[in-house]
Amino acid sequence: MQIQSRFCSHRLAALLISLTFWSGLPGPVHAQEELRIATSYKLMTLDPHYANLNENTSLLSHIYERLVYQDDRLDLQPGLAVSWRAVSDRQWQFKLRENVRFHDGSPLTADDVVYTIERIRDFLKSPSGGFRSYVTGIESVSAPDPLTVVIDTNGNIPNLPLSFSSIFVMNRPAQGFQTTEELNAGRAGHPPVGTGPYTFESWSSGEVLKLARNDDYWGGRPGWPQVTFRVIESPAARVAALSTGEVDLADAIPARDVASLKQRGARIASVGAARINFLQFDVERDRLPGVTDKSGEPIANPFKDALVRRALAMATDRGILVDKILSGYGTAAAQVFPVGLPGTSETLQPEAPKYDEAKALLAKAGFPDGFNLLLAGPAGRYPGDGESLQAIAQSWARIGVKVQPAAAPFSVFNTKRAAGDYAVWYGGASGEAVDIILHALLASPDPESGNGALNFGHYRNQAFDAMLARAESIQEGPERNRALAEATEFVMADQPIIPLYHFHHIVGYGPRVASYAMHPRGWTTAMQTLAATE
Amino acid sequence: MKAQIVSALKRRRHGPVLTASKLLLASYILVAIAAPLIAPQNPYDPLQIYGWEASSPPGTRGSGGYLYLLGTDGLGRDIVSTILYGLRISLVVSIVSSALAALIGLTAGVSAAYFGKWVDIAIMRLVDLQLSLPTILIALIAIVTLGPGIDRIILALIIAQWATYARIARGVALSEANKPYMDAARLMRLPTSRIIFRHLLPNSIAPAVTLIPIEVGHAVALEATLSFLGLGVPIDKPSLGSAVANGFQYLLTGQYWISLFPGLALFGLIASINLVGEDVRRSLDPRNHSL
Repeated sequence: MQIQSRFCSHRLAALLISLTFWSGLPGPVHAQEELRIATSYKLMTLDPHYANLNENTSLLSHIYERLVYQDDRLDLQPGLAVSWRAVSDRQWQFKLRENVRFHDGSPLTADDVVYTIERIRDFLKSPSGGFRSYVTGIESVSAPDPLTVVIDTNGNIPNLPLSFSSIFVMNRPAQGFQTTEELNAGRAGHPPVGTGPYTFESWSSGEVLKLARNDDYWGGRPGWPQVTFRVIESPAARVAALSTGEVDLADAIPARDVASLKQRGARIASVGAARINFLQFDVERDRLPGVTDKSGEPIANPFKDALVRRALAMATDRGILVDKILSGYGTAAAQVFPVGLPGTSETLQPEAPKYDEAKALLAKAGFPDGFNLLLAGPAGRYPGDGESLQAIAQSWARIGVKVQPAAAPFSVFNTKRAAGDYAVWYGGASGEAVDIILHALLASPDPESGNGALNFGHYRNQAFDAMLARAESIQEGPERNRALAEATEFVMADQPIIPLYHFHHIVGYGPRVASYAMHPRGWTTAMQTLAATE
Repeated sequence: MKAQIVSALKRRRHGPVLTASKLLLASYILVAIAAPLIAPQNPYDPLQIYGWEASSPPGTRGSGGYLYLLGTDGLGRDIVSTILYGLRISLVVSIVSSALAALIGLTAGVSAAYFGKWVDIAIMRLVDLQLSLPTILIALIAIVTLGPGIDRIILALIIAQWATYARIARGVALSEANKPYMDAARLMRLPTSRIIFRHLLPNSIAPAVTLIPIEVGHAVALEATLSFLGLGVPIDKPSLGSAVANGFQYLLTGQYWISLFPGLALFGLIASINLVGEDVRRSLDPRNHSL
């Protein structure tokens, strides 16, 4: 059976909207004090510890803050903590910022950090993608004085501060723990209270989040008295909202719309995303669904052979993906992060397709005539996903591998992949740092330690595991980054995945925004804007 | 029956629009049949597609040595070839599904009339239920349940369309069932299947058959809608509907040709089928000619 295609109920609606309201910039000018943002991130909860998804963290970072901030080079900068240091192999100390107040007026103390960790570790039972993995290594946490947090770990965790660049700090209530339901009830329950530059006003799930300026913010007076996020999932509708001036800023702009938006006076900012889209093979099972020889007879799993994986990688034309499908708003990939970010390798460069060599490799592996396979992937989840499947089918046909592309809505795709219905598929991964992605994507899967959480193909390479573990035991710094780059070079020679591209985050903004600072993590926040002055 | 249709066709006066529609429809069918011979590219064969020539405007010369007369889509498929091959899918799907839906609907309607009682109630309540829901909704539910694929699309269209035929056939069969020749057939103790298929069905068929040409037009539109929504044909084998959908995202980017030309082809196809179909229907309608 073939799974395919994009069910886009919003297409018609989006078409109508775009045709009706397409009138060019600037549109109706609203009250000068409000920043209106159209976002693709569908905020589903006000609980900052519920699910570790950009959908939640991007918007909630206006209200809550982290101890450590990751800058646009992914380096760590002081957030609510002004400094941190490893006291010993198993102990870390964080010094908190003075004179920080929560929105309810209470001061930020070390006990609030203790509460935050306890809430994640002991109280919440969040779904997958939760924050618990950040605190599993924490043995105990204490607050010797109001501005000092001491954390004992049950092993050497050199990148512990990185975990705290993801964890939002909440304040300890009078008693017990705040539940997710109480937070989600908004004003009717316990509205979210943080230390961030904006305070919570109102929220309707999956639609609108309204924020107001926090005049007492420790980092100075925020730029906008009011910020309204509107969740608009359809890209065409987001583009339309921006071009009519209905919103001041829209994120996740499709690359193909950039030219016409510019023509209409919108400005565009973009950055290579700290993430990777790739093809992943099932290298464990002996037989795979959809993999047959040219006469349609099932064959033994060809992807166990590194030569086959290598041949397919050599026959992949990333140029078409990046230049044609992503209209140039993407970077061809040869590793997990764009070259230049910490932990990446300078020597791993994306290669141009070499069909003849690839065909020779395939013949050497015992497939002179190629074989048939079904290439699965989500449609509409990542920029260029569905089209990539077809472009790869074109490339691989040149070495005799006949591809049946099968795109399905992400939820369907995900369920089927988990059920083992696919042999090779298109995937995406993002994370705070190179080692986190390497860990999730390529380390030998082990449910207990949480290694290989995204290694759905069950690739196992003990030598690589050892190299990664060694790199991860090194303190943050050039030496650690070099070790990570070497581990990446080592594992990529075995081609467990085929890195395709790092797509670019694209944001468009109107005349009321003077500039927008992109972040490779793909966050969309009011803090990244600079208001235009009269 | 055949003679009836032929004479009906001859009796009709041919307006210029009708003549044009007939010519158009005939050429659609011809080029659909001849697509593999006349299309410059086989858009279903990845080896013939040049990804680097994606989104070329109309009139570009491609690496294959031929002109992209109407440009290429976002993956480098020649639009002319996509239309020709898509036309095949659209026509096959709609004609096969309409024919089968008519067959099933007629049998169900005539059976309901012949057996009466609970058979009648069961079949006709199902028909009522279906006719109370929009056709597109039925087709959507069917295709989501059945899964994608060309065979599934045909099945979904049959499910969406049989009820109309059933209702009309039942009405006619009810009045036929009381005629003397039916009494005679029953008295001769002919097998039930023989009575239904040899006597009742052929005599109830005319009014329902007049529906077929119109329903083929509906089926084309329905298939295009499902494919546009991404629920129809496989992504690497575009029909007219999915060819329009492929270009939809480029509509506001200036690359109008990806959607526009398949859309025009679809428009012409549905319009010509409807005009010709309406004409055939009128000619076949017993009320339209004196005995």
